[in-house]
Amino acid sequence: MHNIVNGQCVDPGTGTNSCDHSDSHVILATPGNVELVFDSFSEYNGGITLNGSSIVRLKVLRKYPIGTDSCKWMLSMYVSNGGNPTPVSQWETLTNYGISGSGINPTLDLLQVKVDNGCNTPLNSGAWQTFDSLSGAVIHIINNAAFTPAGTCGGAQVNGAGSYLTNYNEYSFVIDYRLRPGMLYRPGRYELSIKYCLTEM
Amino acid sequence: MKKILLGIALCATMGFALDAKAQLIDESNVTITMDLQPILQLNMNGPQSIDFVFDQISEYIAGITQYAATTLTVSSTVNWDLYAVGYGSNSLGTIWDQQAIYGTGSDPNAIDSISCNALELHQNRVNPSTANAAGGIAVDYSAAFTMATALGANSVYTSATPYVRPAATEKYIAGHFNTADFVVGGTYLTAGSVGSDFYYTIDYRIKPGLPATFPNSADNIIGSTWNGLTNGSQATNFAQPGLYTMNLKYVLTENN
Repeated sequence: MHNIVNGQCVDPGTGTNSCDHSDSHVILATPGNVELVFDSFSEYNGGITLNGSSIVRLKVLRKYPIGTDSCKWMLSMYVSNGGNPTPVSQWETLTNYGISGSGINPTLDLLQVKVDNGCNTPLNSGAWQTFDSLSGAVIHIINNAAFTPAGTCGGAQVNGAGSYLTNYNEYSFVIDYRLRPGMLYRPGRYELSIKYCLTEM
Repeated sequence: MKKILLGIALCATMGFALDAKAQLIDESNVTITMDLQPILQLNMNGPQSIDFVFDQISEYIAGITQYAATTLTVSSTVNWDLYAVGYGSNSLGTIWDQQAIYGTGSDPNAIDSISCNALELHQNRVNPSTANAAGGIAVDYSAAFTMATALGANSVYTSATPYVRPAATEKYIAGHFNTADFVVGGTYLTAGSVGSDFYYTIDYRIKPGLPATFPNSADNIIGSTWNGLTNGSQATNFAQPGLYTMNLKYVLTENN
């Protein structure tokens, strides 16, 4: 947990240890593999968008009684290409198609993600975002310095203890993925991983 | 007893220290796979069969030209080359197939082996990538159809092995033999259609001449001479009247 490397969850080191770590969870309610297959020109040109391919649900429990706790969390997504020998800016190449090959390998900023939920609590809710072209780059979903408890559903970044079971629209997140490769890249099968990290602040 | 208490106190301190730094609560992972499959699409608009019927003296002398009989549109996700290749199904592979003989066919000077080079092509725009083409009569089919057309300048590339790419001395419609000569991937749908590197119209001409020896026919090697009839001489022989067919194939291939 303390070996922080690219693509791994990063401990902000500012936590107050007020959340119950053993019973707080990130729950991925959708399949852990998302595949986008480009086999027509309309897909290459227009891209492929997968709406709601990942749904992340949170259950964050407090360690101390209500009113006395300061359990505050952040949710982030980290991109990883698996490390060496893949260059830090590129997708991992599983295989290439065709002969000697032309084109370049895709970079990590090709992937677009959009996060939202029923209360618009995420940072940049509903906006398409890209990672920096660097394995280990992060996009924060909730990163709020101020303690914001659940229940108002007013668009603020809720980061207090709670659960999708009681406040679904503040503790669940829908993630859309989009790729628009165009004709620039070398045909092949490429892969990256996204890690959804729940950390106490 | 003191030692035991000290040990308990030390363990408690260590446990607290580890717990205090352990701020990660939980994580989940999603793997994204992107499968970029290579696509090369060549669309040919126009008749599958193009007939040239020579039944007038003027047609023998001036030839018959069919303008824009074929339109080629390209879409490719990879760098590409495009070439045309003419061939027959007989053992030589590069002469027209004779399907019928008109008349008696008994004249020993009437020759039935007509080179596929007798078919001339003209593309509407210059090949956009020929920097490394090596020393043929022409690098593409962009020379105009005129009476003064250089020998072999528009003669179609012929080969008994049509899927083997033409050499550096042959003609390509787009791209060329060298790996540095290619057209970057794209599609006529977004590249501007007519006038783009992904859109070609092809004109065809056959000029038998009189007597019918196909005087424009030659391969693309510099210094080549007439080869309209693959045996016999241009001075005394002529093409045997009859029905002849050949296959013209357009090949779109990944640059390599």
